[in-house]
Amino acid sequence: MHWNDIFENFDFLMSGLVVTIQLALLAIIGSLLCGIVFGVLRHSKIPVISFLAGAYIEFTRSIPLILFIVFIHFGFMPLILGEASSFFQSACVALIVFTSAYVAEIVRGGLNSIDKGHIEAAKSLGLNWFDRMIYVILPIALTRMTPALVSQFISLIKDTSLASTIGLIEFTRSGEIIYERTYHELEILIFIALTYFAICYSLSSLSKKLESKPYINKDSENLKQLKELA
Amino acid sequence: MSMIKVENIYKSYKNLDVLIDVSAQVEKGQIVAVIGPSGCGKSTFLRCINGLEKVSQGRIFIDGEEVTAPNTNLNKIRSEVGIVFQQFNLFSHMSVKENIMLAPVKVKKIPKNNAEQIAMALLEKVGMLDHAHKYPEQLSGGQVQRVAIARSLAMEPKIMLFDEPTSALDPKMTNEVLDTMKQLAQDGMTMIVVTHEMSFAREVANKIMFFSQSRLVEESAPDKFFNNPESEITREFLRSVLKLEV
Ligand SMILES: Nc1ncnc2c1ncn2[C@@H]1O[C@H](COP(=O)(O)OP(=O)(O)OP(=O)(O)O)[C@@H](O)[C@H]1O
Ligand SMILES: [Mg+2]
Repeated sequence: MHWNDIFENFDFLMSGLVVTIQLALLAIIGSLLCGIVFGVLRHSKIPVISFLAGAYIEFTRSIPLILFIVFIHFGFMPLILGEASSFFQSACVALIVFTSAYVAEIVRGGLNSIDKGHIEAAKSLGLNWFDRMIYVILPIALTRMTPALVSQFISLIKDTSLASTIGLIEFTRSGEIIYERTYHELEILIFIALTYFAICYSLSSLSKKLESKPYINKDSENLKQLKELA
Repeated sequence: MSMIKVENIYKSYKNLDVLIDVSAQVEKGQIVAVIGPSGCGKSTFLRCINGLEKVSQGRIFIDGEEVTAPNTNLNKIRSEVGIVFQQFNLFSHMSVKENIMLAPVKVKKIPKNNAEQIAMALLEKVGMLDHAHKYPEQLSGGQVQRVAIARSLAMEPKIMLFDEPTSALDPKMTNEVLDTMKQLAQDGMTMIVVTHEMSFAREVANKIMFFSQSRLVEESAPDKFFNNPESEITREFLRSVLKLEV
């Protein structure tokens, strides 16, 4: 075995990993924000708005991500910016466009799951539409959506590897570059796979912790009550 | 001027008439109990008053302001009319205190410190001060309803509406909530209470509104209503549902 390949090229691999992490983080934040906006629009009672948001979502979900990456890099970004964008910028925009459609559907589902009674209670207090959304409906919906969102973002992390098709040297591509030279694919691929696993698995564990966050003090409270009763 | 004035309102869903030609007045400080068989339109009547439902016809005024006017600022009116539902009152992601502070801070733009003081004072009033930091999930049904009342009161409403606030509760919790409501009545709050609690209607209310089949059939003082009602429909209801001799 040639595990030494990893150590000899460690700095290079890590620089690829940093690119992957930066790309994933930016794309997660961007697609979460855009996805919430599109999801809220899709949920809207105004038919035109809901239809347009729906069209965006359906269209985007029917096209492979790799096409978005290529099209956005060679077509869309030059058109918008008037010059070529960096590989990183294009990949980031493509991931946001692509993932926000899925996030929007999750958000719509979350919004639909809110009890009508909660919405009416919020209305009855005199809260306007915006405040109802921001302070009552979205927080409840987002808590319920956390598992679905996390699995979407885990997909996104793995999807960042597709950015190598336009030339971005992210984690997967940096490994490829090494074994194209050494011809020892196996060791590098195992290392890369384990690293992706470690990242994605920590994320999903973290989300399980987050899910129970509002009630952290619950058990201690219950315990206190039990003691008081005893 | 009446606190609430309802003028010939109609409400229908597609072909279903839910309220037919209902007119009523409620004076400041009056406690009105709304009674009637299931599906007769009691909840809808209440929901029309704070504009959660749009009437099909007719007009409603609260303290002189028309709820039913096309250009009315519903959010403002709703902030002046408290309502407590049977369930789903509290926001599950906020603590008791946060539930109460939300509307004063966001709607009335009261500074957080003041809102917190208001919240604490109201929690004390409804006997929930020790639970300020709990989440709704950790409260009993009766406690939830008392917090919901406190939350409405934090907006200093002109009127409080209650839609069967105790019908999901066991007798002990029911009494807790009814006691809180009685206290509110003594403080001079104008209240409309949809209820199945006949003892509350009898003892606390100064007026009973009896609905049947989408109409306001009878409107009278509790004494008269329970002992000597005018309408045959009311007599029938009292006999069959409440097993009263009238
Ligand atoms: N959104 C709606 N769409 C269609 N019909 C409705 C709607 N809301 C209420 N209704 C109907 O209107 C009628 C009156 O409903 P409402 O809830 O006002 O009755 P209620 O007197 O409060 O009954 P209960 O004592 O069971 O709460 C019922 O027949 C109900 O099915
Ligand atoms: Mg009802």
